[in-house]
Amino acid sequence: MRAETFEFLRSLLNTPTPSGFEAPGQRVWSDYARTFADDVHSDKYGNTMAVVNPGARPKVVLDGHCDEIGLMVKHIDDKGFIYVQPIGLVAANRLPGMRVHIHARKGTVLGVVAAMPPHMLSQLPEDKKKPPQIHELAIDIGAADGKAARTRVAVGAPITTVGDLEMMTDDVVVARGFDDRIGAFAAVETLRLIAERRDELNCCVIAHSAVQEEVGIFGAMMSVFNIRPDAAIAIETAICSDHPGVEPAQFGVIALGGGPTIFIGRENHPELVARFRAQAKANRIPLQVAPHDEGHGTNASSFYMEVGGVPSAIISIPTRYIHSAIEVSTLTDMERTARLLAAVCLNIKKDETFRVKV
Amino acid sequence: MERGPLTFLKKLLTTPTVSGHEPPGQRLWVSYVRRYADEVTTDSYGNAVAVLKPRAKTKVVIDGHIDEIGLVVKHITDGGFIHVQRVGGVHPPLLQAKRVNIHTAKGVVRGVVGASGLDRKDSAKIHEVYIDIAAKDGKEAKRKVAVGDPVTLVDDFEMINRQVAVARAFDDRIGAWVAAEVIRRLSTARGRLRCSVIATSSVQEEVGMRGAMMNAFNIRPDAFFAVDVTHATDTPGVNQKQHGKTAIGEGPTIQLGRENHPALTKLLRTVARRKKIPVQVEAFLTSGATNASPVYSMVGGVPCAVVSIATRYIHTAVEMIDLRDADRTVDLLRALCLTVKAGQKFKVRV
Repeated sequence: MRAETFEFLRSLLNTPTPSGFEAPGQRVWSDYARTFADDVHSDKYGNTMAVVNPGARPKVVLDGHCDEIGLMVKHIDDKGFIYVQPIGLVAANRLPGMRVHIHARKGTVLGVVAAMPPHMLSQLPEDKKKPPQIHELAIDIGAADGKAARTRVAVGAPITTVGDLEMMTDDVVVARGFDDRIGAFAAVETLRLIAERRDELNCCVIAHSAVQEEVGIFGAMMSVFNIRPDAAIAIETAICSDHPGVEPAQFGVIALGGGPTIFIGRENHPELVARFRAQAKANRIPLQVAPHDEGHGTNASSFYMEVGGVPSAIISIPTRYIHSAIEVSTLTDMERTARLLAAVCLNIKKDETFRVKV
Repeated sequence: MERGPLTFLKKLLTTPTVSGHEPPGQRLWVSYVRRYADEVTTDSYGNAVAVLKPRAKTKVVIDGHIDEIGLVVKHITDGGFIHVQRVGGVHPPLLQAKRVNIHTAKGVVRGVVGASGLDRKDSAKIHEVYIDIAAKDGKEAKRKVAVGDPVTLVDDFEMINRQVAVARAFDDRIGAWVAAEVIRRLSTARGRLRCSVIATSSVQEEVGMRGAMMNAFNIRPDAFFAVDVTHATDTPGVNQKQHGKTAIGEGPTIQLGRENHPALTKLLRTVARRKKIPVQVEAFLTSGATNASPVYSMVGGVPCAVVSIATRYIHTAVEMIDLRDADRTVDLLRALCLTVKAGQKFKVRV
């Protein structure tokens, strides 16, 4: 990966962006996009867009969501412990023993999620040994009492786990919140590749860094109304199933480093999916294929049902352990995703439309 | 609370407005605001909208939903007993041994929800609940009541002390009252107002926030304040570590995060501080929703904020609020409207 590109990736991932508090990350993203995009702007809730070749049709949106899951301060008790609610789909049982950053108005406060020492845990009655629920977690910020805690932290402050980007090998990386800052990264990195070859471009490409996906795919819902795209690609993290404890019979096989993943069915428009497959073959980029997600959906769910139906597809970057502080992904697949998307966009013809042939 | 607004509130609270059956309440609301607003309109599903300064560029919506939870007649047995389905989040065990009003085409039929020591259930399901109108058989019952008739609990407004009142369904007739009162209290300051203030008394919140979605599309607000009730957690048995800390009588609550737009929450806090109005702060709702929930992502994004009146025992027959909180909510929103500049828009700064 190019040094400037990697520095941008690192900077994006090390910036806290829990849903509803994305502005610091959006600034990092905008600063990068501004070096090559024709136009960069943001909307009322902070969705941020970078455009190359504005005015041309079709309008193709490359979307990644800038928000990550997190926690929010719900209550501070008189002893100075902090209780939280989730922002998005958080697994409470993974949190005890984690360091966290509380993003208070006056700056970042370091805390730890209280964890029962195993010596005590083994002596607890059976019903207290159960994994904790989110409201049973307490964050310790080392405050003497409630008053001391309240001078530093207030109800409503967002929280992220501590987990900056680190290299595990020269290709495998670990960080919190790859989901989906690497989607936002790949969207704008694709735009950079396209901008370098803009003479060959016949459509308008809009890289979109969305807010508030993790709390209900809301940011994309705003933008689809404002942009009215002719096609929209949601770039996401693919949930890897190649680690111990996962049954292929239940989850299929998506491998870390195995190449970008496309999905079949539901929101994934057959015409777009066919292009990805053909382009991947032509460019010798390995592509993994999976049936559409049965669960929560991605921003593509917001795109495809709105404003009369927007042809959409999801392309995902294989990532292990998503929604934890130790998400694992590969630089190679991030780059392959950007290369594939750029090639697809550069082959779109002027005024082309995407339709299911009936 | 002043006498006129209090009389209006009492009338609103003693009028049945089960979701989908709001017109009696809307007529009261419309006739109250008509004296103060520049324009009052209603739409195809009965949302009511009152506007001050309709031509100003920035449109600020103050919304409360007029509908309340309730029941609807589902089936009448040959024995003359009436089975019901829920309209909104009704907890069936709480219905047992309550008096109810069935609102029929011919008028109100009084009934009781049967429950004796022989058939009472702590975990009663809605289909196990039945209404007894003392009909001798199904034929007589069907002469008086029809499938589809809405049903409310009898429990009406009462003051418990000088400040604290109890009623069924403050949720959210108190919000609709606040919206109307903002119009009344701004009507005398119309000359200083630089934005269009649009009070909405919306329908069908309790069955999925549907009325507000219609309003958002029709109005295209620049700012949308959902005035609703929030759980007061200042009673025995509520875990504040789980549910946060909110109390009746300590001022309106402001929520942070998700749909609550940072520019609006900041403005609310600034105005509250300047006007010395106490406010409570809570994290965004993780259970339940308000009209701001669907509206904020509609029509390209509508900056929203939820402003709530702390209420004990929500969705029961004994909802309890401190009337001073309702008055303060009006004062806060009134003052906020007066600080909005001509053409002002609200945006997250990136």
